[in-house]
Amino acid sequence: MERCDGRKKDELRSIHMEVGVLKRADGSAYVEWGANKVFASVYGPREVIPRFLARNDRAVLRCKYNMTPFSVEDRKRPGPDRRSIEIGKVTAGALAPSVLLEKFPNSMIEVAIEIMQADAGTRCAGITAATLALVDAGIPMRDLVPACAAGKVDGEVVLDLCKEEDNSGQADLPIAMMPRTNAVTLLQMDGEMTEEEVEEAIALAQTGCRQVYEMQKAALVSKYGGGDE
Amino acid sequence: MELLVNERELVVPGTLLATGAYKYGGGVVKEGESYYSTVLGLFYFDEAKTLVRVVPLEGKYLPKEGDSVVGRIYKVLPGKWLVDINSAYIASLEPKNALHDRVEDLSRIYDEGDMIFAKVDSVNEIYDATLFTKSMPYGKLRGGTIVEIRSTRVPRLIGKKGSMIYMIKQETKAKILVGQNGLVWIKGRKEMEELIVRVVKMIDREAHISGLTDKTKEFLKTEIEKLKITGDN
Repeated sequence: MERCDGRKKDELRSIHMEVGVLKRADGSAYVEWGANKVFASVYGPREVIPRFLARNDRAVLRCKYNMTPFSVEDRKRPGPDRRSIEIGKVTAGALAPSVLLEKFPNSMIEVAIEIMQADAGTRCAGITAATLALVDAGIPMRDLVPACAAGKVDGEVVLDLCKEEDNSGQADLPIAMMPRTNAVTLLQMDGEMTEEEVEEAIALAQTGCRQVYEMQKAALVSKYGGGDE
Repeated sequence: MELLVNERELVVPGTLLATGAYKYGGGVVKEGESYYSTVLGLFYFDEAKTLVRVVPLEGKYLPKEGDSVVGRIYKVLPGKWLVDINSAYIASLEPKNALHDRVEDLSRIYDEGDMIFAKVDSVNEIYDATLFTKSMPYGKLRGGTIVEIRSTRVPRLIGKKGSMIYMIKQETKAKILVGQNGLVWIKGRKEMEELIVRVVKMIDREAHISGLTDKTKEFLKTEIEKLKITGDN
């Protein structure tokens, strides 16, 4: 089968990651995933506002996902909408199992994901960037959390759909995981697939996650020029 | 028992460090018989190879009993001061830990916005810290410049047994107070203050590189030479 951008069925788009790109935030990262351009920033741990959200045994992790008006083809009306609130929530759910929240009682960690340009798979790029930003902020984590999607296009299961495939395809299945323990922390799907195809897509997306995981490690190490010299 | 990473090697969260029976310090989680890093940092073990830990390169300051910190008075309440110590948590300073005599109006001693140098007197499980400023060298910081560096780089600025900071003080003849929370107070001649700010920021940036003390010393010497020449004109 020929994919629209000439990739193999189990091939990712080209991915570029950079850590520590924003000066004001405690931690930050920039990810280019195909034509997706995503910034993630982390502030905290710091005082909880509003106060009633505070938990005296752990930190509160809040994630905000936002698309800029110029990120999509038709101008997006600025501000939160149903979709971005949902993605913010599932992002928090995807990252929380990895973050050692109990180390910072009575505090708040804020993650903000800003989509500068969207081309399908922004939540995966967002989670990937947010993980790097958390590490850059020095927040202790059990493992990095890479994310990647698989889907069904023209009756075949393929890795990492691009915009054209997403629009014409039959299903999209994003996954986030902690590769060290094989724990899946995000699993969503829209569209229709048979049981076997779902199994195949999950397995394929996991191989994608592992590739992203290696890139995340390399991006973190390269910030310090390869470590000890 | 096996160590899987070299000493001073850069590790990322989730890196398998060792397997077997070890003691472990900060930056490490134990799962079963395996030890994993939780932060981006440098891996260390002790001489007997029984204790593993990761020293983080990033991260906010967490108050620890006995630390010296530079803080800013954030609010004056009727019975105490609240102090911003550049951490996730606000610390408090009570008059009994700051004054010998009773004072009616606390803002006459330290007002909002004043910078102080203080010792962390006590910290509880949820990081509520109380401070102490009753004896030298603790108290109000008058004049000078404040630089912020990452708190995780402070040990590097101080150096082994204070070697780095002692060297900087010797070379520049300036007063320097280093807070464990990453705030550094510098007071001296104006051009010397500016030079020290540059040096401190350089150490912050290059903390993970070895041989930094010698490099810093050389840098300081040449820069001070330059200052002397321009000063003569």
